[in-house]
Amino acid sequence: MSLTNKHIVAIDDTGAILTFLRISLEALGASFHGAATASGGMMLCETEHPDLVILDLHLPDKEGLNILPRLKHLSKDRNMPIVVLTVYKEQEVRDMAMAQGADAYLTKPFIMDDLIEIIHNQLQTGRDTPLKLVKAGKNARLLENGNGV
Amino acid sequence: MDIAPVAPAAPASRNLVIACIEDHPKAIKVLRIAQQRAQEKDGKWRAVFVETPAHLRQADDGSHERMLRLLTLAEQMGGKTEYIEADTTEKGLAQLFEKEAARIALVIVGSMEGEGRFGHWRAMPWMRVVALASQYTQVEVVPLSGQHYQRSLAEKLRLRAVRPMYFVYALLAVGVAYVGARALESLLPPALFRINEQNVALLFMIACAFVAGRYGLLPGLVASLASFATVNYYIIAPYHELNLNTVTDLLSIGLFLSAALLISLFTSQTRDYAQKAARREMSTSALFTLYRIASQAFSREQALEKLQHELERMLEVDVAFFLPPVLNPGDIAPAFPVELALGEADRKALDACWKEMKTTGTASPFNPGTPWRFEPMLSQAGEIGVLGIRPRGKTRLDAWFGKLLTAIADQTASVLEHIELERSIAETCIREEREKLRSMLLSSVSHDFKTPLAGIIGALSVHRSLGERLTAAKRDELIESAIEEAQRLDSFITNILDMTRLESGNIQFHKEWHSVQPMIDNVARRLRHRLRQHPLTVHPCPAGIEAYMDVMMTGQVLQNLLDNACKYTPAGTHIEILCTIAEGKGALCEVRDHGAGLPPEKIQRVFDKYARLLKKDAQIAGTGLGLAISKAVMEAQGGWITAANHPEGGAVFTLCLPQWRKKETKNANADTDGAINVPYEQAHRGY
Repeated sequence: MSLTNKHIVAIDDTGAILTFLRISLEALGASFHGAATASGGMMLCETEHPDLVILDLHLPDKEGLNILPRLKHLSKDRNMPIVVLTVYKEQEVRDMAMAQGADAYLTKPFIMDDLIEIIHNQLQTGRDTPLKLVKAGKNARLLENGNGV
Repeated sequence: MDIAPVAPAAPASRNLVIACIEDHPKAIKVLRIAQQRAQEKDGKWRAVFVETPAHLRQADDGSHERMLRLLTLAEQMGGKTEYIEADTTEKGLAQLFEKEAARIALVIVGSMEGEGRFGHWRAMPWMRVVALASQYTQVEVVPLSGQHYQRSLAEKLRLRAVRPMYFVYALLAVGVAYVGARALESLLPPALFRINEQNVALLFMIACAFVAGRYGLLPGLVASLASFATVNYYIIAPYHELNLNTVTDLLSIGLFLSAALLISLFTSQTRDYAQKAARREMSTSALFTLYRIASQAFSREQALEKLQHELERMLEVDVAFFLPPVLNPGDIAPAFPVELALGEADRKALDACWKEMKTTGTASPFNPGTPWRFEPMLSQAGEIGVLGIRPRGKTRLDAWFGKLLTAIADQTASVLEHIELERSIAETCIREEREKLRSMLLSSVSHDFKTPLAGIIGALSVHRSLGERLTAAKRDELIESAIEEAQRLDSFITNILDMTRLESGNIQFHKEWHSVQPMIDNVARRLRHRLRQHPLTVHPCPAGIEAYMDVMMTGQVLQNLLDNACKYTPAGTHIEILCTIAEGKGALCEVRDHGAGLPPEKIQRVFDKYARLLKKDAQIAGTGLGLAISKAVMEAQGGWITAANHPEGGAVFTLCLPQWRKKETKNANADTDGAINVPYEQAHRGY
C-alpha cells in the first residue's frame, strides 16, 4: 500500500499518537502535518489543503464534533474525507459524528493496519463509497460510513 | 305464607357508630372520635363516605387519593369502611340509616362552620345530614375548625376550684372591714364621721367585692352573709342581736348577696377573657413553634429535641416522643428522650394509645391510672408515633388542654412526615448526584486509560507492520513513545490506587530525614521526556537542607505538580522549581509555571477531588486526582500545599515540609542559617 503524494493532516492532543501517525504515514510516502488543538488543526487544513483529515473528538480547546461542520465546509469543492479517531464508542456519539460529516469512525485504541486500510479506502473511493464493513483484526471495531460492528 | 313479624331491635344491640367523613384536612378527628365512642359503647364503628356526582365534578386530582388514605386509616384504626355512591349525600346516608336503623347508636358528623367567608354555605349540607340523622338516632357534631368548647356555669363561677382557706380569707376580709369602720369612727371627730348603716355598708361592700373577685362566688357569698350579719349585729340598732324583720334588713342582705354574685360573675368573665387570650397565645405560640422547628430542623432527632424543649417550656409539662423502632416497626419506644423510664401502667397506656390510636392516660377515659397522657400523632398517611406529656404541679388537663395536645400531636406528625419527605428527597438527590459522578468518573477513567493505550498499541502496531521500512531512529522513537505512554498509564493507575489507599487510611508513610535537592533532581530526571517541550529550571536549594518526609510520596507530589504544569500550559512554557526556608513554617518548595495562571474563582477548588471532572469543558487527560492526592499526602505528613497565581503571571504551587534541618556539609554556606531566599536569577540547572 502506498500513500505517495497524499497529504494527510491529523488533529489529536496526544503526542504519542501524532508521533506514530507521522512515522507510519511518512513511511508509506504521505506528507504529514499534525496539530494538538482544534484551532491549530483548522489552520493547517486551510493552508495545507490535505487529501484526508484524521480528527480526535477530545481536543483541549474545542470539541472535535464542533469543528466537523467547518472541516466539511472546507472540503466542499474537493474531496477531503474526515476519519474520526476517538475513545468514545457510544452509538450516540458515533451517530452524531457521522451526521456532522465524518466519513469514517474508528475507536481508540486501534491497530495502525486498520487505520491505513480506512485511509486507503477513503482516498480511493471517496465519500460516495457504498456502505462497507472493514474488518479490524480480531476485534472488529472499524466503522465505515456509519455502519459496523 | 306467614311472615314472622320483625321484632324491634333491643336497645342493647344499638352499638354501631357511624362516622360520616369527607375530604377535609381534619376529617381524621371524626375517625378518632368515632373510635372512642365505639369503645365507650363497646360497639363497632364504621367510616362512611358518600360519593356524589357533584363531588366528582368538583374534586381535585388529590381528593380521591386523600379519601382512600382516610378510609385506609379508618381500617387501621379498627373501623370498617363503607363507600356509597348516590345522587346526593343525604340520599346515600338515608339508604344506610334505613338499612342499619336498628343498630346505629350514634352518628358523628364533622362540622365545617366558621371556615372562611362562606363557611355557612359549606356547612349547609352537613346541617341537612345532621337533621336527617337525628330522625334515626343520636348525632354528635365534631367541629373540624376552631375550638368549640363551652365552659359550664359551675366552671365560670369557679365552684370547683374553691379551697377551704378561701372561706377563712372571706371572714378575715369582713373582720378587716369591721375593724376599719371602728377605727374610722374612733380616729375621726364625730362631726366628720359617724358610723351608720349607709357608710358602713360601703366598707363591707368593698370587702365582699374583694373576696368575690379574688376567690370566686362561694367565698363571696360567705363574705356577703358575714357582712350582713356583722352590720346587723354590731352596727344597726337593736345592737347585739340579729334581726331580719324589716324590709331594710331583707334589702340589705339581698344587696350584699347580689353584689357578691355580680362581682364574682364579672370577675370570672374577665378572668375568662384573660385566660382565653393567654391560652390562644399559648396555642398560637405552640403551633408556630412547630412550624418554625419544621422549617429549621434537618433531622428527625434534631426536630424532636427542639420540640421537646420548646413544648416543655411553653406548656410546663414533661414531654416525650415515642416512635416505632426501625427494627421493629410494630412496637413503640421512646424516641426523645431515649432514656425514659416508664412504669408498667405507663407502658400499658402507651401501648393502648399506639395500637388503638386513641388518647390514653391521665384525665382520659382509657388507662387513666398513670401520670402520663398519651396522644397518637396522626397524619394523613396514618399513625406516626405517640406524644406523651406528664403534667407538672398546677397544670390541669382540661378540655382545652386536651384539644391543644391533639393539635400539637397532629402538627408534630406533619412536621415529622415533612422532615422524612425532605430527607428522602435529599437522599434521592445525593444518590443521583453520586451516580452521575460515578458515571463521569468511569467515563473519565476510561478515556484516560484508553488514550495512553492507544499510543502504545498504535506505536507497537506501526513497529510490527512497517518496522522494516523504518530507520533505526524512527523505530527507537516509536518504542520511546510507547514507553512514555506506558509510564503515563502507570501514573494514572498509581494515582487512583494512592487515592483509594489514602482515603481508606491504608497507606504507610515512611518518614525519614532526606535531602531536598536530590529528591527534586530525581523527579526532574524521571520526567525529562514529559518535559521535552517545557524548559525546566531548578534553582539550587539552600545548602544541606534536609526535611523529615516520605521521600517517595513527596516526590510523587512534585511529579504531579510538574505533570500538571506540562498539561495545562502550552508547549514552550517555562517551569521553575524553587526551594526556600521560611522561618516558622518550614522548607518550602515552589513549582511555578509561566502560563496563563489559574482562574481566580477556581483557585479554592483545585485540590478538590475530581474538580476537573466537574468542569464541563474538561478536555485534558487525567483523572483529576493528582492535586487531591498531593494535598492528602502533604497533610498526612504534617505539611501543606497551596495554589496561587504569581504576581508576574503563571501558577505557583507551594509545598511545605514543616520539619527541616540543615545538615552540616563542607560546602555549606556559613551565612545560610535556615532562612535563605534564593533569587530566581540564580537559576543554574536546566533540564
